[in-house]
Amino acid sequence: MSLIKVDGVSKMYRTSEIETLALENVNFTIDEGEFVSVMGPSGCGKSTLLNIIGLLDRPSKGKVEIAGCQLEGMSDRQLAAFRNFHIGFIFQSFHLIQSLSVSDNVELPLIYRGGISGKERSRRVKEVLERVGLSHRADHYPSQLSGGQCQRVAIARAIIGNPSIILADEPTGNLDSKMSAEIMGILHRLNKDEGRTILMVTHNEEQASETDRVLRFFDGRQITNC
Amino acid sequence: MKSNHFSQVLYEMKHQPVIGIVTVIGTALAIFLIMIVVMMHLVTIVPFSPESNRDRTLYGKYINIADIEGDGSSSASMTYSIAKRLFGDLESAENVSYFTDTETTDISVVGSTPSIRSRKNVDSDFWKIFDYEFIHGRPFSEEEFEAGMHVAIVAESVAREMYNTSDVCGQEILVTQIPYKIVGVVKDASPLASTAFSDVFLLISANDGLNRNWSSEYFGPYHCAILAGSSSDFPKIREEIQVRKNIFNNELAKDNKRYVDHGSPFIQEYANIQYSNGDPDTSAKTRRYVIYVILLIVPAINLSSMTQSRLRRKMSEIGVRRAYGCTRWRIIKDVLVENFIVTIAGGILGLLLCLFFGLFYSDMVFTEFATSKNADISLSMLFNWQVFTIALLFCLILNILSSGIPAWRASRVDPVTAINSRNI
Repeated sequence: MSLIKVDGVSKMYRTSEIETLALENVNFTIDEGEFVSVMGPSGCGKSTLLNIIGLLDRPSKGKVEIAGCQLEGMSDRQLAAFRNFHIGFIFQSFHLIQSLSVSDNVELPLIYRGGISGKERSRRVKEVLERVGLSHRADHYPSQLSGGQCQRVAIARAIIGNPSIILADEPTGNLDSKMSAEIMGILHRLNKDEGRTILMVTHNEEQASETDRVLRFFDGRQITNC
Repeated sequence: MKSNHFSQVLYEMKHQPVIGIVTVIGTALAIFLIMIVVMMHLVTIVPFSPESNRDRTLYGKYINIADIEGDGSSSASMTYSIAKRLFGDLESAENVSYFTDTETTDISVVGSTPSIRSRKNVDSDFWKIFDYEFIHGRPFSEEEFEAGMHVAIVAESVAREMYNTSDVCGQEILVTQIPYKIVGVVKDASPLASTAFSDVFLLISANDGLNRNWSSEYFGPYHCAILAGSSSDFPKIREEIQVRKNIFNNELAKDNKRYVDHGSPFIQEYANIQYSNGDPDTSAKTRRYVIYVILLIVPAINLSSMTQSRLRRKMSEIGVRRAYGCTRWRIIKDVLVENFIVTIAGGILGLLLCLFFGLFYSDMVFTEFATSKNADISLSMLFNWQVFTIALLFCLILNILSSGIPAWRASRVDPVTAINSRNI
């Protein structure tokens, strides 16, 4: 069953002087439980695609369907709620909030979801930090953690709301090989053991080869789907 | 921006100390300036000893009588008989007192050089409306009033100046060289108690004072204060007075005159801005509001750029929050709440600064009340729930003015642009 359906999606950026086509007529589907890589040179539209699927950006043409939901015409509030329930983001440079502790960073999606008691939120934060091996760092701040630990916190934040989709934009791009392997191990476990659907942008052929499928892009066009 | 906004604010203050400190100081100065203006007004209306009953007192100060035909019109304070006729013995009032304006006069004791002090002539009910604290002796009695006795009540500072002690009951004091027996000594009042303040009090009935007039059967030196059980009794009192005004007017008509009603008696707020021949100058209120608006908008514009600068550095964080389900409205709300915490910190500082100035530089602040003595301000006169509420309200308005637009703009930034602004 397809969880993500990208249908004829194009994205055009316009300024007063030029028009840039970031994505052109992209079509693919991703089934529930798949781990898919997106590859291509810088500027080929990988991140734009991830942003559109993550409902952070809107396509200029075409449509995206997630879990059978039409997303066009949704209000800001509806989109925010949809992202909160269905999508977890992992960024290359972690994007942890420096002023918040590890546990506060991880708790964030549950706060925005609302209706979950403080006690329940704490329980889930504790549980998810244990899963990424960082329960002993709950009260630390991001500035006190290594890059690998920061990314594990970001993963914990991405999965605490129990989303069906994880969008990872070069999750190991800022990490050394040992840390990268650790993070990839966690992502594979989330995919295999918990059945989460993962769409990952990467430049690393080896990491991509370990995923179920690779989508290759060049100049905004999808060139392979294998 | 999480539930614990305080830690977020502290973090920002720590990491952007210059912007944080400038914001707090800017807010403090804005609140300081505006609260000085507010306090200058509030001391004229809020209750404090010896005018603790301001909120349930009405003041009848002047009457205006005009010719029915022709342009002739006179206005001034009243004779005792007219004041009593219009405002005296009211069934719906608790008490009515008649008194003169406070004027300066020579006072001395036998053999000493006279000094200039303020004097007020009052009746025996004056002390039931104005709560002077008696250090020695007692208020004037009904009998002393009826007999028009030469008795005086003096402020403690006068007693000490004349006799080097406060216990001077039974001693004599010369007021314009006429001897009066001191029957009471009261604690000095602040000149900010503009109706009740004086250094020496004499009876209005002494020296045939009840018949004093200004060559007119209507105009003389007297004002009156009407004490109600509560302010809710004011309409009843006014109704009662209106009947008397109508009767008075009918009688005046026989002499081709009419009583021009400007709405007297007035509540405390208008009592001090009441003209003798016109309505209270309510435009003072409008002018005050204009000053408030100017004093709020100018700093708000400056503080707004500070807020904008702080938010620019948080743009990436805002993008991440949006990615995880934070709505635009919540972004606005969180920015406003965090900014409000900073504004409150500045507001408290500004209020403290204002109280400090009010207490220690009162002559500079309350110049309009300047008399021979300084303004004698106490903290209880300057700080009360009204001052606190107004300061809080101004903080809230300043917060909305200074951070509303930056917050709205931050919430409108496209999440992808925000995330990629790389300031996190």
